[in-house]
Amino acid sequence: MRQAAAIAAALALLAGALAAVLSARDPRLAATNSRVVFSAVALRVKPGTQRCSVSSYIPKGASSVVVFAGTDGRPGPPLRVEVFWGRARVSSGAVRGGYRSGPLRIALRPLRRDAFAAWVCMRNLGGSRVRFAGNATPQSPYASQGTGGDVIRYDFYRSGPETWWAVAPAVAERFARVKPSWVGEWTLWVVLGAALLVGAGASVLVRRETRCGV
Amino acid sequence: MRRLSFLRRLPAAAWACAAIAVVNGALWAALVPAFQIPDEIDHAGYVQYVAERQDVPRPGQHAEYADDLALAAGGVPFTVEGRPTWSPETSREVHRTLRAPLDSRPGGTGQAAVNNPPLYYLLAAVPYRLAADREYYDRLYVMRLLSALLAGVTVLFTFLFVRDVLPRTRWAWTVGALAVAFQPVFGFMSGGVNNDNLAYAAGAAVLFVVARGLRRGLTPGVGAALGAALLAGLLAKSSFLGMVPGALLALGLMVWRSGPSRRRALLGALTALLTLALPFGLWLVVNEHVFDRVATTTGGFASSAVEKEVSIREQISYLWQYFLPALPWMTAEMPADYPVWETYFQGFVGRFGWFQYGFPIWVNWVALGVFAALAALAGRAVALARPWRSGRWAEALAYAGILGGFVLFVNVAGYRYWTVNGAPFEQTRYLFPVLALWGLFVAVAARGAGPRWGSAVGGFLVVVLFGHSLFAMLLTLSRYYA
Repeated sequence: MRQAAAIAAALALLAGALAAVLSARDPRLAATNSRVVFSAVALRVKPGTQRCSVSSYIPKGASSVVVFAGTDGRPGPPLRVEVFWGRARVSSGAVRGGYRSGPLRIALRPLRRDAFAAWVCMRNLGGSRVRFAGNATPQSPYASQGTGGDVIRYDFYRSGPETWWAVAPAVAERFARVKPSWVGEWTLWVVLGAALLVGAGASVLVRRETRCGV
Repeated sequence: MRRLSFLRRLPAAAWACAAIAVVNGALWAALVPAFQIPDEIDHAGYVQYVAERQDVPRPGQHAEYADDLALAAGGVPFTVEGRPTWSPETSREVHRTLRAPLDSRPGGTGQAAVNNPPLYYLLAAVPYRLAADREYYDRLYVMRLLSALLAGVTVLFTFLFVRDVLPRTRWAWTVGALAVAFQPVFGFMSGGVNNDNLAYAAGAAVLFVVARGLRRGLTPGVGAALGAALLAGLLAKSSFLGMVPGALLALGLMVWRSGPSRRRALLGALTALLTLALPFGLWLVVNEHVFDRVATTTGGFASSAVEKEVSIREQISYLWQYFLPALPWMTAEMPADYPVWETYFQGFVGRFGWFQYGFPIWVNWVALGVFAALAALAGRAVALARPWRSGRWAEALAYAGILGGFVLFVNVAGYRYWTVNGAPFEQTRYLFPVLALWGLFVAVAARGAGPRWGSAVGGFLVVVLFGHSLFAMLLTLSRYYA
């Protein structure tokens, strides 16, 4: 009896923790061109100029972009971000000047469809210089990955804070990319279901083995 | 036939625990993107070299991966800190390219794996060949399944080890085995192509055989099993050498405690030594003279270049500071402020990928509290068992010797690597050949709650440890796909 109660208590604790984590509302990433946690490269955009680069994939619905700006202690200049796919401008957004160094979120007109190999341009509309973190060269000397060829790091976000439940279908889609040929969007659900079954099996097994208490 | 009957006599719970570990490993294999298990490119390259060329790669060779492996890695695209592509178009293009005829014969493999002995790679070449007509990501997954299978072997031996140490506490066997099965870094590693997985299984086997020998006496059969387990580990990974001093100490204790059957025990010890030394010596000769691989490829960081830069004084200072606060005369730079906490403890709670991402720091503090509670319970259980009176001190000494010897070996290598390369070497996964001791620790801790509550605490712990593993999976999902 004690054993069953202990296992049930642990399962209830686990279920509560899972529900709390999966129901937490946060901004969720839609796409990024970043390959680093912290960038070792700063890319300058002079007043009145722009810097453009190709982003391989920006999904529909992306409605803000975060860049990591450096203003050398001064108020940052106004900026405009534009996304072009083919010849069409599919999204844009702007931010007023006065921000400081750090992550800078710029609201975008949400993309109506997925954009592949889209050009993203960052224009400095002000009179002072601004720098942006790059996307390919990590600060950590121990990250043994290819470096160089940095462009401005763009982290695109879905609209509004969302729970994990809401973002789960998108995660299932991404999960299937560059995976074995039999993996599809269904696979994540099977993996998670099987993980829960493993836990259920372990609970039943340990309940059976602890029943006699010897 | 006797061996088969031994397998048949195993409790169903042992097989169930092993099956749970295998399924768990297969799930991790599906979860983790290609090449995000540490050094997986180099290990998979070694397997491909063995499977395609029926040969062993040489350390001097340029790391020239086969076209299909290079394309698969480039298509992810491979980074340590980044995410695999989320673009459906890029993914389709990579699959389309991989389905075209590509050269699968590598010219060599990378530094992270090329020095390793070949046993794991020979085994992994079997699933690779079975899936040879499939595209590369399929082959990689099938290779990963071998590691999942080896996780099952590790957990099976852990079950048997705990059973021999605590023969009268049946529920503890399952609790100990599942504690290992749900260790999240172990699960993560068991989902990837990496020779560590064979070393883990061999390490658990060594501990089981040592327990059996110390509890039931050293026979030639036990000796042969011990030699074979050590041999498998040494042919999987050179750092397994760290298990040998502790195993020899255990062997000596078995002989010393053998009493009237001293003659049989001596024969058992001789069998163990011969089972280990003859094939391993043969491998060293073949390694150097047939495969033309220099002797240092089996010796780790022992080259003359390394010897010039290291000193005993600094070595002792490094070892001390790795685990304890520095003394006034110790000035050596260390890879971290509190290495044992930052590397080993936080790494054990969970640091994944290329030792790159993990739980938030508050989780590690909570885990430290849980660990302290378990240590207190385990201490109580040991105090009540009074091993110094019951004659079980020899067992405790043997396990401490195996654990201490192995940790020492890894940290000696760590000091040398740190001195020469200026980069940290130690990772928690390197200690997992002794992971069965974690299973024993959890089982003993549960037992420390006393006869009334012990099994209930054991059941509670198994579910909590499963939760730990599940959250590690969710952490991995968010790291790569969200």
